[in-house]
Amino acid sequence: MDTISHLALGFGVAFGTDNLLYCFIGALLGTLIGVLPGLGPLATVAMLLPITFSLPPTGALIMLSGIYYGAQYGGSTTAILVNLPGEASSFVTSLDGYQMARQGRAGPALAIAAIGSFFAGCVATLAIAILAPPLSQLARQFGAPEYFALLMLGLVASVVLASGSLIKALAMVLLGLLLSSVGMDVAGYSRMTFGILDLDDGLDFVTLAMGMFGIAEILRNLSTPQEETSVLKEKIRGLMPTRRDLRDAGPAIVRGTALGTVLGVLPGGGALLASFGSYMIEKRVSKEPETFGKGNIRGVAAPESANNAGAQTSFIPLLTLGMPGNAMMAMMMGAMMLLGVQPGPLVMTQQPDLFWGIVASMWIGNLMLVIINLPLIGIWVRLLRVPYSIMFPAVLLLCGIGVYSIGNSALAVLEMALFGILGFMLFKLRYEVAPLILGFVLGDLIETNLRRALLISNGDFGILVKSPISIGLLGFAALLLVITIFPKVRSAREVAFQEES
Amino acid sequence: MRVKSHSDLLGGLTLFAIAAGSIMALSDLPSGTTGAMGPAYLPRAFAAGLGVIGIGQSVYAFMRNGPPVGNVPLRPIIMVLVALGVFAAGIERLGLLLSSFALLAIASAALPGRLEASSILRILIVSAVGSAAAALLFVVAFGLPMPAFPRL
Repeated sequence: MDTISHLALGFGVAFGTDNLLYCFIGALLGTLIGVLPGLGPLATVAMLLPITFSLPPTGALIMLSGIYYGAQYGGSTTAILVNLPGEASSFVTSLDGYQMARQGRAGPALAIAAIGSFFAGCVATLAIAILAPPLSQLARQFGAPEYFALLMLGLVASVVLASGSLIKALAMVLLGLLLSSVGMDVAGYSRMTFGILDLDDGLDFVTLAMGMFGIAEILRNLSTPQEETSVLKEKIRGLMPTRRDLRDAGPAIVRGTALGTVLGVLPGGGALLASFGSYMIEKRVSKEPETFGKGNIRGVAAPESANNAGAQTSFIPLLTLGMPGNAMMAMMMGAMMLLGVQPGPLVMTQQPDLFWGIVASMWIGNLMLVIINLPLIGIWVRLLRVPYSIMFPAVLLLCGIGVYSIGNSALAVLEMALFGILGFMLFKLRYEVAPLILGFVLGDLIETNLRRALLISNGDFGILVKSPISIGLLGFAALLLVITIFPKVRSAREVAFQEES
Repeated sequence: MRVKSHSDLLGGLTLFAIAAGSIMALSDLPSGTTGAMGPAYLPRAFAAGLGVIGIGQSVYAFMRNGPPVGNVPLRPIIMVLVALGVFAAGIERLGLLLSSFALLAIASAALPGRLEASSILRILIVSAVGSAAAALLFVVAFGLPMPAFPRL
């Protein structure tokens, strides 16, 4: 059994004292920042990226995935305790989670979220171990045209799944691609650097991500009128779910996990679709759908499991094909490239201990979340009571120190501030930033592969649709676009995104 | 002709301006041919696409009602920009302690509402505590290569 020996290798790496520590620190810090209201997982991961850069690649990536799960779980904690979801996917959790909290059942809600996430994490880890080898085998046959087609599929998926107008999402992809071409190209020409030597290396990914997510999110929060946040006044009685809770939530956890595992693998999939979908399924199969939104434990269990399963299986296309399915994975990809690891089919064969170490650490990270978070709920609640007027300058300072420390560059701090203002403007004008990040991360790869393919064919675009693999990938991308433009799907999509906002 | 959607117009013009600026910045680089692309080939194509969408959105703004831009409070934007700017300018010479104090104090003024004497005092105290904590955490504990104190 290859799967078992792979996992054994991975656990051997992940259980090393150093890596275990990195995983723990990552999960703890991720939760700590992720709990802060108004900071979603993207902002959290962007903010904490710089601290991983001094570690060896395996340790850094293990810590990073710890941060990611911590941030996800921290977001759920905020959604349950203060009804302030940091991002769309934990919005679903807040529907029933906050109601449970108001009924004095915050403890069981948080516990079931952790248990569901852990179960989902176990299944998803197994899914990665089984699916990754054949997928990367397939990807190893990819030439430049096939890889180009795959990247196109990723971009199309990000456009289709963006909320709001398709055209605006397309514009954001183009802007991301344009920003990625700043700096030297393969032949050594400086492009759009305005003579600034620092820009020859291109715009820095972390600076962009921290600006667009971290700073822009602070500006967003500052510009919306401050509501009295109603942090739970009631004392949290009892943490453990009752036996009845577990019986109720069990099937929901299994269903949520199944849906999340599948959706996470698809391009553009991941946490958001999974949590919405699973909530809808639970409501559909329930005998008493009217109790949803009023504190039904299944309304917490299903989306949290789905969310976590999707968050984890969305690593599959990134680690095996080198294609990030969503903005979070694009950020992971950017971080990996900064650490000198090129995500793609070769990682598994050339750096098996890195690959399987990360996979195993996902499972360990999930276990740690259960262990860390349940006893620490009291601390998270206290953290939530910190007034925003004290919290946001501190967050801003963390961003400033973080981005400065990457290359000891004061210019980077200014760049981040400008990207923050741009990100805030785009938000105000209803442009979504996720496709921009995806375009930015994939820009270089798209250019390299397209240039290479067309060089081989001497300028004939026909080469892009020559092999069955590229026809299949581009066909799928075209299908996604056509489906979205259909009026019926379009209105359904609008309804779905309406619910979220 | 009346502008029906200010957000679409503003967004469209912004996109167009970015596209036009990029094309100008690319003006002295060769495009090459499709078979042998030069450095400006794809960036020009991306910018052209962006420009077309920008024009489209601007025209669209006269045809269909869109969401309002909403009020954009300038104070937080300016304060955040100034806070980060002062931090960036100060970090190398003044050190982390002073520049993070400045960042925290300036950023605290970004929240809407009048600054009373009592809240100014509170901001100064909180910022002092915060910057001391930051210097201890990042320079002393983490050992990040940045000075804590001014270089004389």
